[in-house]
Amino acid sequence: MKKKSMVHVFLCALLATSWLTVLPPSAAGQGLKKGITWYGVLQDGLDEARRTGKPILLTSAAPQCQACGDRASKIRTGVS
Amino acid sequence: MAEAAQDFVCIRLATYEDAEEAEFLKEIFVGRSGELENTVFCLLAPDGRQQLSRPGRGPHFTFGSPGSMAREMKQIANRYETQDGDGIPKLPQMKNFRLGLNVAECDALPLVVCVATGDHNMQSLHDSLAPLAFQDQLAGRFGYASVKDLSEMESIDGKKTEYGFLIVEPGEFGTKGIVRQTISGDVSSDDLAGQLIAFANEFRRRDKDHHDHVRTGKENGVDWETEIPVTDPMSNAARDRRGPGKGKRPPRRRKRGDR
Repeated sequence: MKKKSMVHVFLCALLATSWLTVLPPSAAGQGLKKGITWYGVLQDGLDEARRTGKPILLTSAAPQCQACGDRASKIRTGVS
Repeated sequence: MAEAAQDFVCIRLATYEDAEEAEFLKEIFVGRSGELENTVFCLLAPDGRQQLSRPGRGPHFTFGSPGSMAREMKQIANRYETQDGDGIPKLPQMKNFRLGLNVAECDALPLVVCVATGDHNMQSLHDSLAPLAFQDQLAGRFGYASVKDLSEMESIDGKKTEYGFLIVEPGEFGTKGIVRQTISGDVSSDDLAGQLIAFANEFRRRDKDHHDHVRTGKENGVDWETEIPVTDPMSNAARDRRGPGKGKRPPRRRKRGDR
């Protein structure tokens, strides 16, 4: 049975990965830099790794986590 | 960083949104509490089992800076002989539309939604779209999700289709959005690529101040319901202090004798 819990939310938590993020805003629209394509389903990503023989960069973050975003922001701006 | 990541399969999960994935993550890293915490990070071998870096809560704990991470990733990638592999890649989508919308909003990206009622038609859409997602001009410029029942998209405004691709611009908190473009499911691969590139080139990412975003979310009582219980002790402590969905800290209880 699926369990659910209501949690406090900020809905931007995946910023935890934001120094791995897709494209810098300045590059968006210019098509100059290749961004990162992320698999959002574990099994799909594992299948792709086996298909291509590539190693895996795995990250996970919770949608309701404020601190995750704060930490990533500090790293991105050089404050550590 | 993006260059180093091209030699890796990049997987980004949403913690507490899938029981099986949560078990996998727990095998990689648990905090001092012994429970799955909000964030997990690790580099893994292609078998998905062997760890190639120290696991932790995030890349900053393991590498310290994006530069050192990129250097380490290059060294690791050089140890593996990669291949094109048989067939085409799977569509790099999120588990469901709800998560896809939320993650796309977080990344300030538009979301491409494949809409089809049957498995055969859905596979056809995926087969058209998946290779494009890794092309130089499109990599990292969209999020992806699939919908078989349009009722999943009730919170989305705009014209929808029962077979094809919808480009959705997420709303501020990733729970609502609007369809910005509809593309036929019968479009050729070249046309699909052209329309996606054109949209991406025109799309302007919304600037977002993290603290303002959080404060506005609190004030509006925006909530997120996880699929499985949250076990991060710090996250749960914060929730207990503030109360679910209330946002504001409760007033300090006056002790007897306070004036």
